[in-house]
This record gives sequence, structure tokens and C-alpha cells, in this order.
Amino acid sequence: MTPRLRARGVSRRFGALVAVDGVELDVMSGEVHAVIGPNGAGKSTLLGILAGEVRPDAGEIFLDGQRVTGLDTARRARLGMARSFQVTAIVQDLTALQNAMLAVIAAERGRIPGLGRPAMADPTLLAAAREALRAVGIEGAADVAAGSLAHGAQRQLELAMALVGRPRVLLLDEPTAGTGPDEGRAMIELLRRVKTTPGGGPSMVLVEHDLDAVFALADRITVMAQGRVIACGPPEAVRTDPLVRAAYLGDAHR
Amino acid sequence: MDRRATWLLALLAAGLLPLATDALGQPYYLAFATRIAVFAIAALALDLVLGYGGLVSLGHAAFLGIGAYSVGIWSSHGVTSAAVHWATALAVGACYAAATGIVALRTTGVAFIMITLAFGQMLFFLAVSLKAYGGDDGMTLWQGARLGPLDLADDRTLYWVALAWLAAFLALGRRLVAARFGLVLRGAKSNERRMRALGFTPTRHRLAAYVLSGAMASIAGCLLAHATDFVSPSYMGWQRSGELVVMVVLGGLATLHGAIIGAAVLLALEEALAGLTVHWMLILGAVLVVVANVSRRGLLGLGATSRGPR
Ligand SMILES: Nc1ncnc2c1ncn2[C@@H]1O[C@H](COP(=O)(O)OP(=O)(O)O)[C@@H](O)[C@H]1O
Ligand SMILES: [Mg+2]
Repeated sequence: MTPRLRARGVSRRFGALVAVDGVELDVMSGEVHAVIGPNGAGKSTLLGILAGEVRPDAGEIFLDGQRVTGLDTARRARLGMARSFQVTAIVQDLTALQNAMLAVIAAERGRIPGLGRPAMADPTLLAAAREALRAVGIEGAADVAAGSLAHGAQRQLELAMALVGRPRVLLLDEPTAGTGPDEGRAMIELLRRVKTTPGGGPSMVLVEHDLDAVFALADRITVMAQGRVIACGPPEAVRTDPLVRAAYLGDAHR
Repeated sequence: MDRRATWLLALLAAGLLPLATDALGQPYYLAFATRIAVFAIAALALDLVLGYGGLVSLGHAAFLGIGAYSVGIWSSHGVTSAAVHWATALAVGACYAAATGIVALRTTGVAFIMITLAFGQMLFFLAVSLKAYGGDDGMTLWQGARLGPLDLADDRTLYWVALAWLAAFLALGRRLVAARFGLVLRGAKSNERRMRALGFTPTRHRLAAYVLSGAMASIAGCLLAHATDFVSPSYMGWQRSGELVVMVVLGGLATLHGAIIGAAVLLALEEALAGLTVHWMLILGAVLVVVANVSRRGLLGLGATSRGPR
């Protein structure tokens, strides 16, 4: 079976530093594929390469067998690749609802959105945006400026925006980072629901520090260290892999 | 006061103004009001890209020049139809905006400011080099423009025409920023990364806004030439572009009607202070510093803070 998303030998250097070094990654349809590794391992850079924001020095990216290496972020997004960032990227000075509306507008695949009726008076647009907020449980904060939301709610809003338009691939960079324990648990629960979406959830690449989240969600885990993949496999195999334990898990997860 | 009442009052004042200046025997103030309307159009056009798009264009006076020279060049060849002047200005202004916008929009921030400034100066020197059309000195327009039965050389007629353009562009601008287009523009101003990750190509929206803005400001240039019966390169100096930026910031960014208020206040201040002292620039500067410090949202923000935060 063709993997939904495939990275073939991707590398990226920053000056003398090789941040990502010949990484191979296959993500199957509907799979939650966690990428773990110590700080500076190259996880965010890899995600950036997958999303088209970081240009690789070598290697190829395929989406459903189609080569997308040369396409920019926007084109890949239109092909069904959605993402969240390590530092939450939402439109701070618009409301949560307006943020969701932007995601809906993007998913409409419109030409340059024209002189139609006022966006705030378009029932179809508003309903779709409210539905997106409801899906992550923040419909109550619809009219709050996104920048004023609690950190956890901002992350949920970012996820809500990524989910609009039912992406084929969801790239998540530490979705629980910086959230409190309750918010973190809520996010894991949310992602579990996304994974089990009726009719099949998106394939996910989940970069995550919180190993509880990883072991709760992941079908497979890729472990990175110093830009390289040092292990890849189902959670149980990775958990007991001596290389991984040495490089990353240490004694914390015995 | 609610918004509708404010608009009605503004409309009423604009409608009664010609009667008032007549009654007072002060036709000069009617011409002054026309001047405000003209610059309000240009400032409003700039607010579309500056306020909503976050793009600091320091070359918008170029469009005033394009409009003014559309009138000037046609008039010097005996073509006095305002419709022809306007159509030319709209077309040339939009094409110039498209051509320079494609280049300038590859950059953001300070680089964008510098590139728009550079293009503006290029057009300035192009006008200076047009010896057949007055070169450095500019040229006086001996024949007033006409629009069908309307004689634009008549101050009162020109006032109504300028007001009509302003009202039309205000309505168009409001419609535009309230539509999906405006939401996308604001999103891109605030978080381009997120917009790209959603699948938008913000440059396209910015270019559309820039072209529209340029076309609008070009009409202001036409009206400026109609009002002064004169065109010269000084209409498109970079100082003029700077004044337009000040008008928008002074009135309040990303509001459209703030640009109108900013134009009125700046022109009135210039007028009043220039009569008082030759150091009026100094006083004007002080006023701007105070407004900028008291309210980040310009003069409109001053009114709003007294009603509590948004
Ligand atoms: N834009 C950049 N310029 C220079 N160095 C970078 C850049 N982005 C990442 N790096 C470096 O590349 C390495 C990998 O970073 P990153 O991918 O963020 O790791 P991780 O997400 O696994 O913590 C780090 O050493 C980081 O400092
Ligand atoms: Mg990272």
C-alpha cells in the first residue's frame, strides 16, 4: 500500500549543523505516527520540511505517491496537509470565530474571495465556523479575541482550524507543550477523538515530548536524535529498544 | 451617539456646506472642503493597504500624480471630458499598481517601504522629464473639464463630484473589508504563517488590495487637477506620500472613515498653523507625537477610550 505521506532521505543543514540527516518516514492512511527525541533532534525541522515551510537540501516528500517536494506550504495545504506549530500560530487580533472562519474560507478553495455579502452576515460561513469551534469544545469563546484565550484554548483553536476541510494529513508540533496537566489531558482526549473520526481520521505526525500522550495515541513511533532516525516501530518495541533508552528515555520510563 | 446618527449628521453637514459658504460669502471654504474630500479619497485608498493589509506604502502620491497627469496631458491636447480623464487614470493607476506591486510585494516591512518610495521617486522624475508637459514647473490647465452637462470648473459642481467619489469609494471599501476578502487581508497582516498553512497565498490578496487602492488614489489625483487647474511633479513628491500615511495613522488605522477624519484634521491644521507661524511644521509634529502617544488607534481611538475599552 502506498503510504499517505512519505519522506525519502530528507536532509537539512543550518550552517555546519545537520539538523535533519537522511530521514526516512512512512505514515500510513489513518495512522498516528509519533516522532520523539531530545531537544534539538530535528523534529520541528522535519515537520517544516514535510509541510513545505523548510526547504530540504536533499530528499523527496510524497503525498499519496505524488511528489510534493517542490510545492510551497499553501499548495500542500490545499492538497490536504494541515498543521499546528510548536509556538501556537493563530490570528491573535481576530476573534476565535473569525479564526475559524478563515479556515472555512481556505477550505472553500475560493478564488480571491470577492465582494460577496459581509462575512459576518453569511449564515453558511458562520455555521461552519461555529461547528469547527464546537468540535474542539471552545464554542463558548467564539467572540473572544484569539490572543486573549487561555493557552490551552489557543492550542485547541489552532487544532480546530487545522481540522476544517478534513485534511488527509495532520502535522502536530508538541500539541500539549506549555499547557497545564488538565489542558494536556483534554488535548490528548481531543486527538483520540480525531483519530477515531467516523469514516477514518487523518494521518497524523505527532511530535510530542509528553510520553504519556505518545503512548496513548501512537500506532508507531519514530525516534530521532541528532537529526537521524535511531528507531522506528510500534510503541512496545520502541519502549524496550536499548538504543532508544540510552538516547532518550533514560530511566524516566522504565 | 449611535453610528447611524453620526453618519446622517456628517451627510447633512456635507450637504449644507455649499449653502453655508455662500451665505457667509466665503467660497474659499468650499474649495477647501473639496480639497479635504480629494485627500480623504487618497487616504482612504491608502488605509486599504496600510490599515488592513499592514503594508506601509510610502509611494502613494505616485497615484495622485498619475491621476493629475491623466487630466493634464489629455487637457493639453484639448480633451476635456472628465470621463476620459478618469478612465485613463483608473487604467494607468491600476496597471502601475499591478506592475510595481508584483515587485514590492515580494518584500515586507522596511524593504516594502523603500521599494514603494523608490517607485514613487521614479515616477516623480519621469514627470520632471516630461518637458512637453511642463517638466519641473508643471503646467496650467486652461480648459476646465466637463462631465456631460456638468462643468467641473465650477467650484460647487466639483465639490459634489468629489463628494460623490468619496461616498462611492467609502461604500466600496467598507463592502470589501467586510467581505471574506477583508478577513483574509487582516489575517495575513497578523499571522502570515498561519494563513499559508491554511492554504492561502496572501500576496494575491495584497496585490488585489494594492491595485484597487492605486486606482482609487488615481481618481483623487484627477480631482486634485480639476480643483487646482494645475499639475506638477510636486503632486507626487515623497513628502506627499508621507502626508497620506500621517492622515491614515492620525485618523485611525483600518477604519476607512478614520482616513477621512485624518485628512480633514491634517489639512485644517496645516491651514490654521501656516497662517500663524512659519514654524507650523514644528507644531504639527508636536500634535502628531501627542496623538500617537495618547491613542494607538488615532483620533478615533481618543473618542473610543472615553467610552471604555473595546
Ligand atoms: N532556522 C534555523 N536556523 C539555524 N538553526 C536552526 C534553525 N532551525 C533549527 N535549527 C537548529 O536545528 C536543530 C534542530 O532543531 P529543531 O528541529 O527545532 O529540533 P527539535 O524540534 O527536535 O527540538 C537545533 O540545533 C536548532 O538549533
Ligand atoms: Mg521542536
